[in-house]
Amino acid sequence: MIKHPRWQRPLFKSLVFLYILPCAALLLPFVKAGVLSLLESSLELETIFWAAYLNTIILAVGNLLLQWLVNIPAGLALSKMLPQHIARKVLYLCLLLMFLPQQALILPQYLLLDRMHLLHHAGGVVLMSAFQPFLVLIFWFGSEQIHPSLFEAAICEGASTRQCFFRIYIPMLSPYILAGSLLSVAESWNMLEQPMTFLQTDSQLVLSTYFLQQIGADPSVTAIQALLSVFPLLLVFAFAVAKLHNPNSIVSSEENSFTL
Amino acid sequence: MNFFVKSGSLSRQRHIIGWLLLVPMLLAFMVNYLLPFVIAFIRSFYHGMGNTFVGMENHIELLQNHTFLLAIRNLLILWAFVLPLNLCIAFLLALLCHRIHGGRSSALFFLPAVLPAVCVVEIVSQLFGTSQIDGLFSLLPADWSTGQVAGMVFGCLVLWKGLGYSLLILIVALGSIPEEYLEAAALEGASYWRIVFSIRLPLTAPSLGICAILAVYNSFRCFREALLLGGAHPTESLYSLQHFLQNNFSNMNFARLEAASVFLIVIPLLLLVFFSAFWKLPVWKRKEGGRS
Repeated sequence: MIKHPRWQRPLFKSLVFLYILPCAALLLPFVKAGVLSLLESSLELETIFWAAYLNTIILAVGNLLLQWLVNIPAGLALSKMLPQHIARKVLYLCLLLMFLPQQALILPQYLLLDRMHLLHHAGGVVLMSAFQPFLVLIFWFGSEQIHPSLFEAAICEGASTRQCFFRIYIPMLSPYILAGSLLSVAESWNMLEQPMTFLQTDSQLVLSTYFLQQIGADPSVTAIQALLSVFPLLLVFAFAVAKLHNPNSIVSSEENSFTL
Repeated sequence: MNFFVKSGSLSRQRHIIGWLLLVPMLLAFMVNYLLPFVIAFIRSFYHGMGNTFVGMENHIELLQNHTFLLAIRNLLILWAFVLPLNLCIAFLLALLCHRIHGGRSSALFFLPAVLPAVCVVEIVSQLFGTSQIDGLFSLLPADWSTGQVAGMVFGCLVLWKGLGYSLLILIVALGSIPEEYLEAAALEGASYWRIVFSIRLPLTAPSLGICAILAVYNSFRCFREALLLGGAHPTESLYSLQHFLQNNFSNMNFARLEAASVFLIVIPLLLLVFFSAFWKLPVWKRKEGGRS
């Protein structure tokens, strides 16, 4: 067993602290102006901000559900079902697509949505975000980590394909689903180009497009709004970190309930 | 009948089920990427949104456009700054984290990646100040967002936001190196850094490639921060490809936009095909037992 110098752990912790320290700047307006005065002004936030908040939540949930539906089966198929040469080509395609700036296809996507009568409709934005190459890669990688002997053992005990899927595959994949979901929610929360182009009415504002309209507005109000907008993401992040730190905790509870 | 286990008699059915599972992704790929690309490709040979065929005129005009060349130059500078720093810092941090089993605290490096663009810009504003508010530090001039410094600040932002991805991937990659290799080298008298450069680095090279791709991907996503920092018409050092595309869309300069779309898709495609000939990703080689 190799022993490591004692200073390495405090050094790493200090680096982590320094790395996330700038995030504390989000609280500076509260320090400067006083918590109470800013909380009072937060009560007077415009209705349109809360409408944008709700629209963002709807968009994030819609995106997440459709992305699960599209990308999880793809990860399973590429890892366990399809021939390797096909899987390799699809995975290379996913890598290639990650090289493309999303804005490159905004205009043709706009024309396509217009043809499909989905322009100025949240469904159009959700549809255009359904396929996420990085999610396919994450779910494929997660599927690759599941050893086939688990399925073989279950089949020897008489498990059906459906039971293998719901009792083994999904629980074993859940850390990767959680990580992918965190990235998906963060991406949806931050989505700017598509809502800015496809949703052009004021009632369809999401937080990112709302903040774009607030350039030059009262900085203290923007500071409160920025802090409020990050809360759900921080909660999801904290939940994901707590679960991912011990992924077996997610799996074991499901495995314990495995009965045939 | 179970499709989770390879069996000669069921391989045809497995493939059919596999294709069926892939259908939603293929449909979404068609709607999100393929059809829009075909539309962009065809329209790039026409004048505006009309039906006058102009051949390569739009593409030639695009390559002579000052703002497009500026955006490409800025992108290359950004990559030249972010990619090496991202990979080096992430690798060193991953080495440290791997040695001490950093665990949960290493996940905190990922926090900036999930912060909304407005929060990131708010942090920059609170730290360095803007025309409206005084910053905590007076390191930068008051009009920094309209000067060359803006590009540097943006580069640091992209690095800060993207480092977490690389770090997490490299921690996993370092953890997957068999201990026997390292112990054998140590028994032969190899120093720590000799082991790092001769064993750890070569074995994590494919993961470094993935990290580089993610860094490129993140540099595109950080356009939102650039837009909030400098607006739709920022200073030259902040002007990005996304500004070019967004502004041409707003100005309804569709022909130039379509030509740019085709350019931005075809060039990475050719580069990837070229590099994939030399760089084989071992992760694609499926071992017996399903692990890669």
